[in-house]
Amino acid sequence: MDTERSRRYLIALTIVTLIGAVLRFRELDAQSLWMDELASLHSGKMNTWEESMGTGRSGFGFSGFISYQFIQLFGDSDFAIRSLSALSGIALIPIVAEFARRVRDEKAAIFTAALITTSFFAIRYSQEFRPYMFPTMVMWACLLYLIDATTVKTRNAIWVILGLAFVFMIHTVAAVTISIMLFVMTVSKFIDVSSQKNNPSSLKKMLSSFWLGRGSLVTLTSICILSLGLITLPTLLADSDDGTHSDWIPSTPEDAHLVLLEEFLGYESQGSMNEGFAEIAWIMVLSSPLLALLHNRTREEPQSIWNEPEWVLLASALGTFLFITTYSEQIRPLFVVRYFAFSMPAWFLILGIWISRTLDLSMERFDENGEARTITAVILSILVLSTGITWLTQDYDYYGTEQKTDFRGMAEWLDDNIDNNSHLILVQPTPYYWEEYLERMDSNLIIDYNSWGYLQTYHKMRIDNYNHSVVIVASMGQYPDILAGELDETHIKAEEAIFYDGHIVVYTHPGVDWR
Amino acid sequence: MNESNLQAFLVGTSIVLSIVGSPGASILLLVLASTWMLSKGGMRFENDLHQYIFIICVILQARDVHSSDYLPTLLGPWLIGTLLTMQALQRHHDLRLGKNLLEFAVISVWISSSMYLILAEMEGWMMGTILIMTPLIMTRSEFKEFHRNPILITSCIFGLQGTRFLLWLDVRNGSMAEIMLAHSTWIVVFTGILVGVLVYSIVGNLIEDEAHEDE
Repeated sequence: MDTERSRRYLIALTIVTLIGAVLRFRELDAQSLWMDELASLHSGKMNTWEESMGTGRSGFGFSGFISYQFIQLFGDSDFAIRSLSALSGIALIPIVAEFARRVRDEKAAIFTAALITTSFFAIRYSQEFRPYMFPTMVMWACLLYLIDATTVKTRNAIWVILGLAFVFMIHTVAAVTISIMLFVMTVSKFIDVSSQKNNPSSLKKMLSSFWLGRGSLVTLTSICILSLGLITLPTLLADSDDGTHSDWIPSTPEDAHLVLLEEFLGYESQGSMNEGFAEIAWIMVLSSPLLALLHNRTREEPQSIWNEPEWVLLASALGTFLFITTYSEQIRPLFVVRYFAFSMPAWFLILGIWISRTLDLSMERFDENGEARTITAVILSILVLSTGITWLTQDYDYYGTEQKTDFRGMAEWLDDNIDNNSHLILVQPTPYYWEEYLERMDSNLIIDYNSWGYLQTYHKMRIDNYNHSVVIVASMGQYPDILAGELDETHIKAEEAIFYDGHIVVYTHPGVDWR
Repeated sequence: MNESNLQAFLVGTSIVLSIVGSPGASILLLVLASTWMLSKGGMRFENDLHQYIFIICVILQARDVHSSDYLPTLLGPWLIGTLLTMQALQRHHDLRLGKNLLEFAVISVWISSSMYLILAEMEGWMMGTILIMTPLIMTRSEFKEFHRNPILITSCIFGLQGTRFLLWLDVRNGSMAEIMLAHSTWIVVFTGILVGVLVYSIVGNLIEDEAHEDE
């Protein structure tokens, strides 16, 4: 359904994208990198691209490869590395809008763009140096191309296949989302070919039409990804059997669908205008196939219901959701909201198309040229944008409220207050988080000990026998007291500095001035 | 059931055995079918579908030996696979005339060596040669119809496996501690995609041919 873009659509989309850019770049490096971002940075700062791809104990290492290449090009400052996600998050806005326009119309496109522009989830993961927003952008750019591409002879076919293969290898949940979507696209295409009025006379010719005819790039891409999936299956299954990298995941919440939608649309807060959005959005998603059917039947020339975009979008949104919740129920917890980044645009697209269809169904009779419907869609989009921006900057105050573990602040405190010659520095869980910032400050401080959980005995003996009086314990999250409990009874707490999700505690012997 | 169908049945059973994890019995059946076929002097199956089942079987065998580091196990199926696949493909691509055989060999060797050089980060002039030569080879080999050219795709797959073999030789010679995971990962990704394109190409050729026969 690739029609000409109207001038006002292009203007509206440009404005919405610019708003998205401001929201994503605003205070991008105001806060310290947190644990997972520093882990990505650690991979990306390896000496060679081979080392950046890791040990293979979890996944295939492609996110490390991307981090490495990006750092080589743009440097390793907090702003530079986060800008990869920010730029991807911005690019995702027109990509998703274009997707909506091509499968539906400009009304759906602009409403979808408004939703994703002010989405709490989309902004949050556009401001973190992690492998979510960049692969999501690549994936949906490929899908955008795939929905329009006619045959495998299309010039960019190889890039679509390589792009989806790359995202497939980055994250297991991305692999699931891509597999489900390609499966549904292939089945829809097969049904479409087999149900055409002028269908070919024989099964062979029908298969030939399916395999080589219009839309054959979908078939080729599906087979390539299937083949890649089969070849990488042993690694994927080994990852699935190994619970060590996911044992931190809590059990799935009761109303998982609402938790997810609240993350996408913004948390509820009392008196907030978006209170109850999640419930309404859930109803809209569930009713979308019925609405598509109803809308299809009211057309003058109804097309095959299998051509409606809802199927592939529901497969992406609900398919991924059902996979993760079922996996969590049957095998082990996997419900982590950020894992839904890859399918997130599908939820917004369903909502955008829902609005467009509802406007068409309700206003078509008295709005023949569609002007009133377009204006209504624009008003609704402005409402979404203003509500979202108000919530982000005022009601919830995203930029002031959302905090990340303050490794930068802790490193600055250590550098300002600690003399390496008369102190032992003990950190938990791993020294890299502090060392990265200490190195940037040209600090000469050295982390002496680190540990996940309890100290090893010989470390403990060395600390207890240390002649100088001070031990610094820098910890994050839930760990601050574990290491402190390891010190012998002669140590007393002399100073404590509290940071977001982090502590520094100074222990000394009685009568000794730690400074 | 004629001889060709029985041979194809043996190859099909070999595929099933390979998938369910009996590589020994699987390769035995493949050897049996190949010997039977060659003893009749036919050098090929009678119809395309059987030929392509045969190729899939050889690829599965090649997959099985990836995990092995015993030289005969690694080399044997690879060489036999190359030979038999060329035989199976000759009906469509006139390998006997030499043109496609040469193309097959050139592409395989070129991909093996260039991918190896890229991964092993050799000298700049070698990389430069690769960058200059690759477009020339691509133009000569009509890569625009890549997705419809099983022989070209197969030669690329063998080329990639050749890269793995060269890296493995490095490990044996002690210039590398082990085949690096990163190198293997890239080879796996490209192989996975190419195997998919090969399946698409084979089925496409079959469907197109049969539809053409109907007309």
